[in-house]
Amino acid sequence: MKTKEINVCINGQQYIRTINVAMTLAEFIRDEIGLTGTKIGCNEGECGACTVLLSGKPVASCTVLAAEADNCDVLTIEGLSGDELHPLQQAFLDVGAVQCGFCTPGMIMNAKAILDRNPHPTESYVRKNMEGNICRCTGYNRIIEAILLAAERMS
Amino acid sequence: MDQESIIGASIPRKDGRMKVMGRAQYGADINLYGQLHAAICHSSCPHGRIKSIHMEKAKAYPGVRAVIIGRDFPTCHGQFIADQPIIAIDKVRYRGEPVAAVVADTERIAREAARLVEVEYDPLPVIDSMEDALACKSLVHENWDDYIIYGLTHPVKDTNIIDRFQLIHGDVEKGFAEADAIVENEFYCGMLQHAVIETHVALADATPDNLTIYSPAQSPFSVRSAIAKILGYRMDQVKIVVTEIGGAFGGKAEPKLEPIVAMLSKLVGRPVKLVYDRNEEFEATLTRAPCKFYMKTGATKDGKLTAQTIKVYWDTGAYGTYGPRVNYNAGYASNGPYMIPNCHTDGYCLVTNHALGSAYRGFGITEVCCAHEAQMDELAHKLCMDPVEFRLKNVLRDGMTNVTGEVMKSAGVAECVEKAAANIDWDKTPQHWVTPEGKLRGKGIACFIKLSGTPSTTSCTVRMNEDGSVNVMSASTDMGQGVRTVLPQFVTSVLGVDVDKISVSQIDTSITPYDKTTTSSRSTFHSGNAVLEACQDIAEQLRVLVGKKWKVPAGQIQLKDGLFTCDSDASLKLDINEIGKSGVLKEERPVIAVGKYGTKDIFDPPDELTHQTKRTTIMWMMGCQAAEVEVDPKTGHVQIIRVGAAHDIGHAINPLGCMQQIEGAIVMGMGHALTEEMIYQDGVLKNGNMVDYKVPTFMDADFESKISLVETAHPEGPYGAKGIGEPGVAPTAPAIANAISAACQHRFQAIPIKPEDILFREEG
Amino acid sequence: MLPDFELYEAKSIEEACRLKRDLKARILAGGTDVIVAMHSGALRPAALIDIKRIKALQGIRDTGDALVFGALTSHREIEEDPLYEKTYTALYEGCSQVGSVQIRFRGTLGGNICNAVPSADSIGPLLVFDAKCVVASDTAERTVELSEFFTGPKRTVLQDNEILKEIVVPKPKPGTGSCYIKYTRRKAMDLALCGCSILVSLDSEERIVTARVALTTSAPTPIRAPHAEEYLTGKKAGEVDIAELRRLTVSDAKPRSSWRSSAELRLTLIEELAEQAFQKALARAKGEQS
Repeated sequence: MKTKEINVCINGQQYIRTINVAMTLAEFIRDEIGLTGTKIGCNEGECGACTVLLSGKPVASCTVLAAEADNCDVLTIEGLSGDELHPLQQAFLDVGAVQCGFCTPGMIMNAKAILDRNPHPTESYVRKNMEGNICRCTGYNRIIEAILLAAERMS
Repeated sequence: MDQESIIGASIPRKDGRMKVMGRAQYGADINLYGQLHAAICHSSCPHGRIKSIHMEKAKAYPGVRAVIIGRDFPTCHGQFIADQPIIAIDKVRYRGEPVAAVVADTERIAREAARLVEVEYDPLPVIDSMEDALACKSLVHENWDDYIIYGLTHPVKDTNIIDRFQLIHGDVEKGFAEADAIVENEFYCGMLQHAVIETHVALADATPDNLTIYSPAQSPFSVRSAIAKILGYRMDQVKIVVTEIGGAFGGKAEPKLEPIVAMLSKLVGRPVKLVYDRNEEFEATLTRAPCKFYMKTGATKDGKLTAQTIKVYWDTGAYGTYGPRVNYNAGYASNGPYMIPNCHTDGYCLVTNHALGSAYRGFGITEVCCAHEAQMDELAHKLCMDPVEFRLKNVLRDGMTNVTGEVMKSAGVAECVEKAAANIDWDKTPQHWVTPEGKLRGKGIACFIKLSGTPSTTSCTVRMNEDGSVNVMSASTDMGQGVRTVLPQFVTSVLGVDVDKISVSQIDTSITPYDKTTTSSRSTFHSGNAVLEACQDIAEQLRVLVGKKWKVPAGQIQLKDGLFTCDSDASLKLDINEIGKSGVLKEERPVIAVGKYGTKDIFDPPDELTHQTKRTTIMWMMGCQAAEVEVDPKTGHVQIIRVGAAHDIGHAINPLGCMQQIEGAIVMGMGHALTEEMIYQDGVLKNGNMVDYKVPTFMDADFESKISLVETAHPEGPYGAKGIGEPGVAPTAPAIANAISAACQHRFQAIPIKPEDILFREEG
Repeated sequence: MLPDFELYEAKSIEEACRLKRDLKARILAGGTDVIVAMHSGALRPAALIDIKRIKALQGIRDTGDALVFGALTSHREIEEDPLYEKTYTALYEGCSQVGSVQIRFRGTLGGNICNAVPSADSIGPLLVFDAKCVVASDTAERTVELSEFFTGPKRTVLQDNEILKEIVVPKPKPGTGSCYIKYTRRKAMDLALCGCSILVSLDSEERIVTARVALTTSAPTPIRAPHAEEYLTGKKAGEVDIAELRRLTVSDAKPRSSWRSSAELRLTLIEELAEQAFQKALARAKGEQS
């Protein structure tokens, strides 16, 4: 097939669309659905800016076809905050872990995946599990601090 | 509130919430209804004449609306010399240079069609290095006289030299004759890229009467000026709207995609959007020019510097862009923050067939710092002096005359050296030692001086809204460094309005007042001064209005700590944060003020040859970093153990903001020292992707940084503030390089210092 | 941005193999190699066959003397299950250093093997564990030693109508220790500049009864180092002359010089990695913490 009808649940909302199978999940989220919080930084799976949770797992959405997300749940940065910010979002603000902000959504989504599977991670666990997210502004260590702070606040 | 306590307060970023929610709108997130998409056919040839361009297949691809080549719009532009066509015309000068643009209904169609454009080249000899450029095996630009020069560029006819800068102070021959110790060395800095996570993007909508462009332009007025000239509009017709910037560091200061989309939109009559992918970002945008230094430095036996000569060559790539200005700024800083009575810097900016070397955080200072700090260590070693002691003996202090001929004020470098050293316990460790596991440890230190571009100007408006909230319009762009947070702090410091009620509006050159550029670490200083001036005016306007309400002359109204009081009646009080509800503003003429700040009057134009001047810059920035490293002699790996930093920031308006800049800069500098380099072979970039161009990751940042902010208030800065956007990265790689040299007891003469450089070094 | 292509979702091995042959299509598992190569323009297949629905390629089963990994086993599964860190340590070390967590959740052992680059992180470890590949076509199955699976850079013995079904890893004897060292320029998100995997099994007298050495990014394909293996086998741990081990290991390596690295650097590092990997594998075989 060159096109496929897919049924994807994004941030709790159901979307049924017919798409070109060459469309990546990142493009689907951004261009088809209009949620532009997920960023495209490299299309190589190397920078992590496009990280979303696909069926609960952090993936580089530029390396996933939209077609592969058929009948799956996707969580993007927009789905994280309701009336209040998620503790991760709040912690990033409180610690000063945001500068230009382009890497931030991918950072937060990967961090969410970390805390989902390991609510009390060590600093080295966080550092290793965040290795796929690149930042040019912050020097990284405040981001680790923010994730550990969020973990503390959530427990 | 106590209005002065806001200065020095680490308030959180005002734009943080939008960013953590994913709601900030970056260039790629902006779309105009009816827009078309562009894709570029890039040159595969590093240097050659364009023999033919076959566009039939591309034009026939379904969904393609136009295919444009250089001849369709043959104009040239450039900041200092107009040598660069929007799309290559008869010749290509670097691999990656645009040779055709396709406009289509979707990005996918445009990119597929761009692949179908067939270009034939008559190759010319490739200028792949500075040596090639100097040997003139071919000329990248055949005739410099073909181009308009706007200023500050002195190309040499029939060569690949696009500019030369000399700094001549005293008499170097005499100085060397007085020296007891002389060291001569070379240093090479590899090519780098900004490699920010957001790639270049622009969206233009051109009509016969006006032109709107959305892009992450860090210097929107500079872009407006260039675009107006190239596209034939007046400036009042051109509107540059600055989208949220996903990192820049100088890479988004000059027009890049804006001229292309503006031209395409003009030709096709629809909005046109262009987004570069990561490979295009590497091959076809900007770099930090590689450079080569030849240094000779002399000192007396008790460690006083007497003379220094520096010859430097910059590989600025195929077109001038900011290259000549880098040569100039770096030339001024090339001797370091030292008192040297005799020196001569001779800087050559060379064109080659590489991607364009241009503005990059530090603007040449990080490179010259590698060179002069290696020299200082060599001299210290020769004289058996501790590197810190040697530097303290020579650093500039207030009242001393700089190598530019200027008498220094607010020179905090001595304190920076002491604090940076202390931050890694310099006095408690030897220069180098071997651990029980056989690893080599060493420490290194580096300090620098940097000017901020002068003359320059800025302006702003401040408006109080009917509800008492405030909008600031300033074209100082926030690219993550936090100017959007700091400017409201200045407003609060004068007016006492809660900083939460103050917003800096999105930048739109048709609405926002002029600011020259967001580069040169100048925004807090220049825009801060402008905002303060505007707020004094606002305060005056409000005193008049409050006086009207209270039926008291304005002269009797005081505003302090956000409270209006009346000299003649103690019962009259109004909190400025209640002014919206108070009726004071109702039906009155709007409260709005303009602020301006410029440095033309303090600038002493330098001598054309020697560049000596009583004052070349509004502010000198200085700082120092020290590093301790551990080298594994068996694998060549370098582990940073700790970094100590101290920067003279004048006065920290937002200390957290200062720390954030320095922390990020240190990790960036580590990349420069160890892993980052763009590798060209025969004019072809080999590692234009995010695996092979290695920026530091989380795992690489596993070391401690201890940072001190030194405050030697600058007399002209707002509350004494200077700048910190760039300085954080200036001494990092030099300090690390010196530390590795100490650890290995071998002088490394290039960055990045790679495992093979360590493993295969000559023992010495 | 991906070029246009046709997508097929195979429901069985037979279907996948048939489509692969008829359409000259590429297999899509985790996509972390194929999709990235398509973005860069290096790969422009007319068709992709998504094999993730095929049950026979999923799961890990224990046959008593071996673990059989379905080709779709992700690197993350290996990374997360403490069994592998404990008993198949080199494999754990390999899989946990593939790219990033995001890549490891999607990337598969099968994909890593079939992509067949000489730097692949899972392959050196699988070689020292004597892994075998079960290759399936639309009509039959065959088993190929992993050490014979590669014919050149990015080239394997897979025929047009074959896919990799599962990887059989014999269980190590008690007294076995293994180690994979990946040498990189930066500490994450990097390809191995060179890699060395070593496995040793000791008897009750600390005699090396099994020795396996594998090198990656040291030749056009991942390779075993037979001279080093021969040298180690039968020796008591204390009898091993490290300098000799280093020399013999590097004698089997044929790295090339490229803009990424000189051959000289790779050869120098392989010697050092061989020593370090051996010491670690040995310590682990003895049951010492490492």
